[in-house]
Amino acid sequence: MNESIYVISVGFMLIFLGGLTFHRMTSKRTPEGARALLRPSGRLALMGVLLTAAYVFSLPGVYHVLEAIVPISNGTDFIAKCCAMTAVGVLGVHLAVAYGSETATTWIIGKRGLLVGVIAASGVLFTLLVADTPEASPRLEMYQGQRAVELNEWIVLAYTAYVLAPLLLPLLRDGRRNPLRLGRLASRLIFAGFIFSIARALAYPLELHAGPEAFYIFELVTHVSTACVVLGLWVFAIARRHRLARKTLDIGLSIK
Amino acid sequence: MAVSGSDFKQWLERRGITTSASELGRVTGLHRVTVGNQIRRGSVPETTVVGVARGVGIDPITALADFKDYEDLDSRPRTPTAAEVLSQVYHADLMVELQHRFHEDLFPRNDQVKIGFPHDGSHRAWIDAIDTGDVRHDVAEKTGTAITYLFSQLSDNKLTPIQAVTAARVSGTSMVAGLVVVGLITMEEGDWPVDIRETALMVMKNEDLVELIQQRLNLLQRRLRQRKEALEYAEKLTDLIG
Repeated sequence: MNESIYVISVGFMLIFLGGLTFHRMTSKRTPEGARALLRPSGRLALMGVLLTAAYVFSLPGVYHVLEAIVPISNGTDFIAKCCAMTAVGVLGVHLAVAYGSETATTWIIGKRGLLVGVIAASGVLFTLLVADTPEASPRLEMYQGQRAVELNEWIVLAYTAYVLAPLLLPLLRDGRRNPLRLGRLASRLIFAGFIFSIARALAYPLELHAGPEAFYIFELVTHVSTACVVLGLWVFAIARRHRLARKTLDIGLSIK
Repeated sequence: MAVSGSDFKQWLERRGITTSASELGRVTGLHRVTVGNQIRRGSVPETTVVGVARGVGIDPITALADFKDYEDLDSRPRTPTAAEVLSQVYHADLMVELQHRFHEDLFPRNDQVKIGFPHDGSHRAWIDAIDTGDVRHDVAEKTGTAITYLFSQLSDNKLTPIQAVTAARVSGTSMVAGLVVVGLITMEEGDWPVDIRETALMVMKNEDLVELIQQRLNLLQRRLRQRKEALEYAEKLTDLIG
């Protein structure tokens, strides 16, 4: 009992401190040491590391090794989900800054963003503690029938949708207006990826109704969404590396 | 907008022209499948009608006038106004003429206008030349085009034949001239003398020439600013996201 209270209190403290750190690192008055995160390459690198960590932690081999260290049963799943949610948050900040969307920035890293992030992480931890998950199971796959696990999964999806939703309009606008053809393609790819993610969060009741066997089909939607976003970012990276804007968009007077 | 497939077929039959897609393809230089698809889908572009007319030796304007949307095409004199002709002279040629008027030995006059049309901004310049008030809105309304889309068509030199004819119709100018400007018919087919642009340029008054150059330079300045902004936006975004 005492051990459970200890784990819960430490868990919530970690969420609280993690949330505050994220807020501090991404706020306008950022300390010098965290300025790297303000640079686009720093944000992208952090997002890549977090996203990779989330996927790696969910691999059965790694998952079982980590389970031996983590004090609560299936705590690795909680860590993986926190990594994934933070990666989504960092991606959101990255795009909100790039598209100059004040609304998205406030939603993701303002006080409201911090509050939602902390509530989401707390919700994930709380539902994990409430659920009966004695055996290690990556993505809590063995316990998909439990109401708490369903809620746990939905919180992650809902937080993702919350972060991505305010970016839809800037993405859609850029997908139509970007003077660079590749830029339009990239924005449309990211937009498509976001739509898939939001659609999965909204269609979650359908997913529950379909039963545990449909879990991997719906997981496929998330994978397609991730692929679209990564491809979109990659296209932007290609455009930057090859200086395509400078090469394609002519500002000279020659009509030859 | 294009002519309907059934109207096109009826026109072919009326004129005693074959309706075979492969034969029409041979006459127009298009692939037979392309012609077949155009007829089957019920939307035959004006370029195909003109291509067929040329192929069988019919005057393209007479051929187009056989269709409902173009029936009044030849109801006005074909000769364009001086402003219309000058709209098809590129500002570089206008400036050569201006320099010549400053010092005819140092800057000899061009025997021929060097830059052909359509040139960058020639569709917009033509609309400006015939505009009696609100021609853009009238064209958008009569052709069912969104006004913003019409603006971007003008910027991109993508005015369609029906839009050109509609613009001429509402502004009371030659309806054939619009088809020459959009490149559907040649200058010769539109009864434009070969040296019409050179003549119009030479007889132009100094003040008119300077004013026209000023207008064009204003447009050029705006265009350059837009291009620069577009470049900066694209570069900033690729640098920030990539």
